[in-house]
Amino acid sequence: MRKFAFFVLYSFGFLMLVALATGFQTSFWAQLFGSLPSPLIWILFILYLALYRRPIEGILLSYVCAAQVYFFGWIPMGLLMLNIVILFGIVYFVKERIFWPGARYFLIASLLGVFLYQVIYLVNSWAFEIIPIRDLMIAERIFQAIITPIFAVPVYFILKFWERLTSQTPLIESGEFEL
Amino acid sequence: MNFINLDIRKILLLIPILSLPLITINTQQMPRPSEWYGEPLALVASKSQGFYNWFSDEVRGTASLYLNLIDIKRDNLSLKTQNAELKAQLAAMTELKLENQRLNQLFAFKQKTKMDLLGAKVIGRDLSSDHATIMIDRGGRDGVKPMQAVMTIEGAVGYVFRVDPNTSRVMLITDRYAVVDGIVQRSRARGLVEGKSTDACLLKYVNKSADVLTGDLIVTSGLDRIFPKGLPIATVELVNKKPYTVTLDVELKPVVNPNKVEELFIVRNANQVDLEETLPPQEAQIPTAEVVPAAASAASAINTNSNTNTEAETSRTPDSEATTPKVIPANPIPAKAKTTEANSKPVAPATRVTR
Repeated sequence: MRKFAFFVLYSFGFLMLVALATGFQTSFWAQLFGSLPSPLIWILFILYLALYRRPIEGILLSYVCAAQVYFFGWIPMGLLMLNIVILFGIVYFVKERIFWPGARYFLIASLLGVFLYQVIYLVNSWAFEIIPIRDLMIAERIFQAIITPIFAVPVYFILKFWERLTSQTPLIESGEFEL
Repeated sequence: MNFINLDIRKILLLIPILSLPLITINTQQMPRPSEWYGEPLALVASKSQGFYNWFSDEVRGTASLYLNLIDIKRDNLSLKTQNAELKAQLAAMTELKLENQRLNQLFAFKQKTKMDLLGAKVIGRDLSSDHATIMIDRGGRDGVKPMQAVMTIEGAVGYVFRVDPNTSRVMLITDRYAVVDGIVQRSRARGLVEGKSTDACLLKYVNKSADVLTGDLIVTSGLDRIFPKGLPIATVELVNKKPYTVTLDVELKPVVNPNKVEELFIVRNANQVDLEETLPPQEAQIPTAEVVPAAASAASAINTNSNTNTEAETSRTPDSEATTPKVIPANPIPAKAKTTEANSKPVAPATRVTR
């Protein structure tokens, strides 16, 4: 019971962190930098779940995150969930084969993960949306993929800290850059 | 004799010594011509004095610099802090001034118009760069409802599509899901304005024979029951006429840059206001990008038949009447057609394609 309570607390906190990060991305960043493309910080949370949580738990939490993130934009919920689950699956697949513990791995994963998400979204948009993406905005997407990892290390440490605070045993022990 | 004890040699030595100042005083009183040997000596003297003067100044300056170093450091720090504070204040003041100007304009517009407008502020952008939506600080509690138009003084911004109690989400006209019924202000050609990317729109379903030129202003038709009539939406950037299609490909640039909007209005009730009455007649700047030969020949045939079909307008060349200023009537008639047939029929509106 205590373990479950801690998990609920962990999930709630995780969701709050997602909301804070997405708020930063959609509001604070826009206030500071105007039309400069914002980093996709929320994706880092999905990547974290895929890399450091158990699959079922991670997917469930990802869906909850998708429901939260949905209210920050106008991407259809179904498409958002589909994008997330595909991203989750690919990242999990890669992690099973290539993995080393630590923030450095998360940093690299975030760079590739954002690229991957953009590709998944483009493909899914063309496949499922009535009005698919009309403008590829390649430069904007590359810029987003480059700036997002800047936030990867802080996100990693915050989530590790929260994990430890709520007594959540990680799927894989973290390595270097340990707090 | 010896009581005085005078030493004659000493007296002789004393006399010239004492008389020297008297002789000198006497010679100073007399005008003296400058001797050739005096000039270099004077120069050396002046240079020497100058050098010592400079040296003493430097020494004094350096000494005082070191002596006052602590004070200077403190003053410097204080001035730097003060400068930073003043800079921050200046930036804040400039920001306030600009905001005040914007708000004054909005207020003046709101006072002047008959529409029921509600001011709002942009508080957030879209999560994904593939969608163009914004969040505003007005919601259901302020009387905001879905499908209400959102605009600025310059033109249309978008429409409300999701309403929460305290906030609302606005779909910008640049979003690919946004559709606004629009007309070309100059020629009244009709089409649907759809979003394309973050700073571009498309005018779709415009009859190929319609008169659309680069630089034309697209305004709202008012038929979608969202926007008031005559609100500027965008200007035509590019007109592309493909040979095997029935509609024109028209690229637009929004009048309002959606990325820079900070304050805006929600139109709660347009009160049947026609904003076009307040707009000056607009003139296209550059004619259509390309003229398809088939269309051109068709147009010439139409012109010779004195028909007022709008095909004639699309085939105009840069030196045609499109570049000359004129007052645009509600249903413009090609000049050639006018000259050949006085009782010409009005231009048929472009076919509206529903999706």
